[in-house]
Amino acid sequence: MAAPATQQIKIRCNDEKEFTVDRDVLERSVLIKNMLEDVTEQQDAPIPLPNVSGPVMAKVLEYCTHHRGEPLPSADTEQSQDETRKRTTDISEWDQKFITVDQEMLFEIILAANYLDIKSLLDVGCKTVANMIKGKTPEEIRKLFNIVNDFTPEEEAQIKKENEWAEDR
Amino acid sequence: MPLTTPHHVLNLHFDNSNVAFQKIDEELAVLRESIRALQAFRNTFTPIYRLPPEILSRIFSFTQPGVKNHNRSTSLRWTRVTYVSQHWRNVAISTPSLWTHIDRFRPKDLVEMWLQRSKAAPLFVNLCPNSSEDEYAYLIKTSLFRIRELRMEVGAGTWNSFWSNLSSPAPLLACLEVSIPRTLPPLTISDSTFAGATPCLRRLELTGCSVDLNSHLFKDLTVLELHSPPQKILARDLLITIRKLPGLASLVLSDVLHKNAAPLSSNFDTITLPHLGKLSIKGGSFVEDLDFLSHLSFPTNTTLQLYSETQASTEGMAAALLNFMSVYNAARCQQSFPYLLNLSLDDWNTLELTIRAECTERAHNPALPVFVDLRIYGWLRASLQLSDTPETTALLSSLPLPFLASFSTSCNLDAKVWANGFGHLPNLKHISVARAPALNFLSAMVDDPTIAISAPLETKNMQAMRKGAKRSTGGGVQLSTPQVPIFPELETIELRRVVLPRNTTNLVNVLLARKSVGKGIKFFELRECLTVDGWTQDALLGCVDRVIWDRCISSYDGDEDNSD
Repeated sequence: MAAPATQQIKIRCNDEKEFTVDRDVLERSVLIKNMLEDVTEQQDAPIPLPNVSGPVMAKVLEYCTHHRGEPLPSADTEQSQDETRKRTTDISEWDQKFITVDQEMLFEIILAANYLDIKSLLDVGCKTVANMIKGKTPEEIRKLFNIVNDFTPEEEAQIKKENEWAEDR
Repeated sequence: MPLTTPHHVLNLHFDNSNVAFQKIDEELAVLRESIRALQAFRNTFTPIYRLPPEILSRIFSFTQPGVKNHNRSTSLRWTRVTYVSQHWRNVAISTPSLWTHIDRFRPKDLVEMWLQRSKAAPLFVNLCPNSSEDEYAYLIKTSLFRIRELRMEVGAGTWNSFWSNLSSPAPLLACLEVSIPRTLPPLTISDSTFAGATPCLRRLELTGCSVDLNSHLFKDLTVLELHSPPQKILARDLLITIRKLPGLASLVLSDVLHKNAAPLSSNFDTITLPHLGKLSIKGGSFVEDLDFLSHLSFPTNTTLQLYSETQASTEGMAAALLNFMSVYNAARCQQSFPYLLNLSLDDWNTLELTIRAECTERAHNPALPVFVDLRIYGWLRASLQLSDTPETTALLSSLPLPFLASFSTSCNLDAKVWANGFGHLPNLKHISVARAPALNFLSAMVDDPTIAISAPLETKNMQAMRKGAKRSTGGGVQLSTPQVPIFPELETIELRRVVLPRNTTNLVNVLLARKSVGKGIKFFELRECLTVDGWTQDALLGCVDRVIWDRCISSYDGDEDNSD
């Protein structure tokens, strides 16, 4: 007897781009997983995702397909990681290649992961940005993200003081 | 947004220069504020500004150093994110969790700032208190109620007064680690510490502290580590305390138990620790440690490490060990020897024994072979030639090690020991050799009488393989079908800083012979090794599944004596 076919789900992005995806791939997203669980009858209408564009969703689906079948992080794991601060900014080789995109796309992926509730992808994105920041001076960070110094003189004075405390040890 | 242009002032006429200064300065201030506001407005259009504050603060948390990999220079480096822009600074400062880790590298001003910014969040504190640094006392006094983890490594000074600050309840405290060097006066952690209120305490690690075993601290623990208390503890007292800790997952005792204490009564109950994953006992007497152990019962997949001293002869040692293993085995496991034997020979009269439970994989799959790790540490005493001593050979030959699966050494064991003493290890899977001046186990393999190597025929594979070698090994060889080769199950060989002796010329032939009967080596790693026969990584590639060749020197005329 043939194995039951994987259920296919349709989604529609904010640019009307539609994808038909295996259910287990889509369920990497806790948001979609919950939506699917709430729907008792099979629906043909695509699930609307108003906060994600087609190109970004294509990247997100690439990630979900690669990581399909892996265990989803539980809320407990998340909390204990936060508490013990045993976080690492290590990113697997595949994830590193996957996330090597321009800044615009990187932030879009992070926002999509946040909206779709895909913790592991969110972490890959956040770690990537953190790794870009690490080891740089404030001025270098500003240059990297096209930010300008907008501190008031009072804030500048406070920052200078804090910096002296931190350096003068 | 209305902007005041300088033209407005430029068109004014001033009779008095002071008035002009005042007016122009005011105008400049307004302009500066306008510029700053424009800069802030500009920043809102940057791509990263689209990230909401909770994601930005998550990114900041990843820029912080981990608990274990930070130091004085990197501890505060992440705070540079607060110097980038107003938005970033506001996000960071309004995220309490970023400011909850207070370590020994914080000066007083920063400690106060951290406490303020962490608001009411639980704190993770790592201190090195001494008499001259009262900021820690301030920290403890004001915030003990919200400290979740407290680690203290006492450096110097009269810090007993500091300890008195720990007299109020610590309702959130889950982890307490205290380390006091032997040079300082001992400290007794009593029931009055934390006013007897640590309801969440699960991990207790004390080094150099005297402990009151009746203290409230010894309750509901899952991790207990005691190291070198000034006053040693009777096994009986410790067992009574452990009985109150059925949830223990890890128990580490280092130089804790009384030596020469009277043996425990056989009527003393056995204490069951169903969740124990790790048990390590170091620095005690072999007999007394075994006595202590025999009153504990724990799962068969618990990692058990026993580093004990004994004055027994090697034969007596081996007999006691085997006796213990059989008793232990029968009492605890009711299956064929599930524990690992890890034996370290470090001194003439001190044998360190480690018996470890099976690795976690075996817990899930009992059919996996038992791994036994036998280590002989001798690199500090390499000149003593441990291999030549009757003790070593006697010990090795008196221990039946059919279960030995892993062996690592930095000793120059004689080839005879390998070939005769414990050369026949039917389950040996892994060999690791480091810093040894010669590599006799390879010689033992090459001289393995069960593998016949004869001239002059050579297989095609070997010819191809030999092209990689810079110097011929002198004629071809023909491999007859081996019987059971020495170390028949050997799969991995790791060599570090080893000089390969000339008589390993035929090693590749042996490796090929093993491969031909399905006993090939899967992984051969050489790091910083010197090969004097001229064979190279290429020479190994044809006869081993995977080779790592790292910073090795291959020499035609290499001098083995220059290796070190």
